[in-house]
Amino acid sequence: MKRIICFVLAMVMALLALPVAFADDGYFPKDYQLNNGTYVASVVGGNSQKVVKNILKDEPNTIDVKLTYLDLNGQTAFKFRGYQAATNTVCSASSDSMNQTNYVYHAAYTASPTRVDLRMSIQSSSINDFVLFNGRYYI
Amino acid sequence: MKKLFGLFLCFIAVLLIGCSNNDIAKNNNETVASSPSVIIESPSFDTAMDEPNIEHIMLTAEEQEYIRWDNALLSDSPDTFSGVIVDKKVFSDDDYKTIISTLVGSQWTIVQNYEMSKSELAKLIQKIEYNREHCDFSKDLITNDGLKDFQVQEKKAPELSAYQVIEDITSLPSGQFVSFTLLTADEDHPYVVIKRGENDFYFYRSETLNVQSESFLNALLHSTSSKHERAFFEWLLPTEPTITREAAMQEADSIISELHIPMKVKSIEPCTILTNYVERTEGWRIVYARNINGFFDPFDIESFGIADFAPPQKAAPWSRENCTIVIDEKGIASFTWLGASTQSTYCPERRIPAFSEVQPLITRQLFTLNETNLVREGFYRIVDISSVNVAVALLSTDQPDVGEYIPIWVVYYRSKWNDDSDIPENWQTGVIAFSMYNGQYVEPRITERKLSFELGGDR
Repeated sequence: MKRIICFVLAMVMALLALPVAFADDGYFPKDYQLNNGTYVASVVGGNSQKVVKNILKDEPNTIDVKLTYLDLNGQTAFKFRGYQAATNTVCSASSDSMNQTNYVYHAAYTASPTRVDLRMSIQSSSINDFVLFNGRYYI
Repeated sequence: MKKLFGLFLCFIAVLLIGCSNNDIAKNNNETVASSPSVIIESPSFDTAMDEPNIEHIMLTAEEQEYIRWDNALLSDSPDTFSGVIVDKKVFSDDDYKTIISTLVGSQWTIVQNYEMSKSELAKLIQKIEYNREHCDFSKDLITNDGLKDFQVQEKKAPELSAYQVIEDITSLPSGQFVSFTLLTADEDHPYVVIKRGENDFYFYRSETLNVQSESFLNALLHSTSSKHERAFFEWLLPTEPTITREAAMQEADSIISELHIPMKVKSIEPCTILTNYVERTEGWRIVYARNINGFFDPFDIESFGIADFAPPQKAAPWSRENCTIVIDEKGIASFTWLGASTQSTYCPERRIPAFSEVQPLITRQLFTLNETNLVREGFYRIVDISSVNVAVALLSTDQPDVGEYIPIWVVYYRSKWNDDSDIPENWQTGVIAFSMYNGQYVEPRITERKLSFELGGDR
């Protein structure tokens, strides 16, 4: 009995300690391995890429992105925008150009779809140009 | 054993008390349909903002070099200003019912987990397939994968549409966003999002509704390099709304009046409305906001950033207060009433420092915000100010659920790395606000609560 109560108490304490996210959120999928073995996410030049898709919209007013690692690799206009899932219809403003970590970038919603695709792009039209990043999104 | 059990009970009690404080809706006796807000002069009210106490600073050579004011157009500003104090207007359950009835009439039922019937899905698929033959951009309105999903769904769909009837709004949870569908006499199934205990309300003619205003589409056209995307955005641009501007204004104004919303028209523009992945109509997007001494909140649909190394001094107490109504020939396409507030009082008149008194502080803050960090160590961003306008913003006070509209300098600028060439692609535009009372950086586009979370605080 003591063990059960201790376990329940520990679970309650653990739940209280967990930071509660504001929205349906996650970490960007990592597809590029750095020389040090770390995996990061990447976006190449050309058309915008669907970095995360079909995410349940939970944030009421903005899509938010916080980068914890960023290598612009000389590229510019690294931005994100929300699209209504399963369409090419934009549902948020385009973010500011992301050029720093320690920033949270916010893009205002223009619609309230149930599910959202998050697309990212850079200025370059060449697929040989790319940026590398890690971070979190809040949709 | 007894002690442990007692401790556990105490813990649960603390947890429950914490949750219930968040869940209890503020008991506000003023209903939506009651008398409109009254401006009451209250000269003895103490504002939460500090009296002007401008820090006189000496800018460094770098600050002066990289923050450039040469081309800045400065608006005329008042010499004094009386801010306005507002209380958070928490919507009661009756308020929600009144708003819904104003929008859709008296006959409606709340349902959740609405599942389309076989025939509804068949009809939708038929429309999409028809569009595939007759509309160049049908695959942008819904992709092939999206169509496939509907086809799969149709095979498993029930014969009759299925849903869970919600007897009353009071049975919906508080303190979290909840969405539901309205069954009405019309074919459309309006979609509503609320958060009981708060002051935001969202209504859409359909869950799939997407409104693209003319200015938004023009901004999209400038931001994409994809040829196909440009063609799609050009196709989306409204050409001639099928309802006149006057008729749309009349309908919107009647809703504002009926719900006693204390706001004035801030902007109106044509827009395109997409519904159910196939329907494209044109109408008008009308934004209402509080007019404080002749000034509006300047923001609408923008992007912005928050730096954790230089956060704003103040943020908003709740959502930015505005009411946006989209109308086409079918009627109300969407209605959102956000950041509702009530009971306005005027603050004592305060002196507005001359812009020259706060310009050095603004310069320093802009430099700090644009200072490089690990990403490009040793480089700086040049900030070129284009204009500085006067507006108002709703910011938090030290009293919970009380906000203050204060005058702000709205700084429009563009920025680039100092070693980048001077071509348009390298410049990024931005807009940022500073209090006119003391030149401090303020951010009305994010709530204090969310700001605190982003800076590592508790929710």
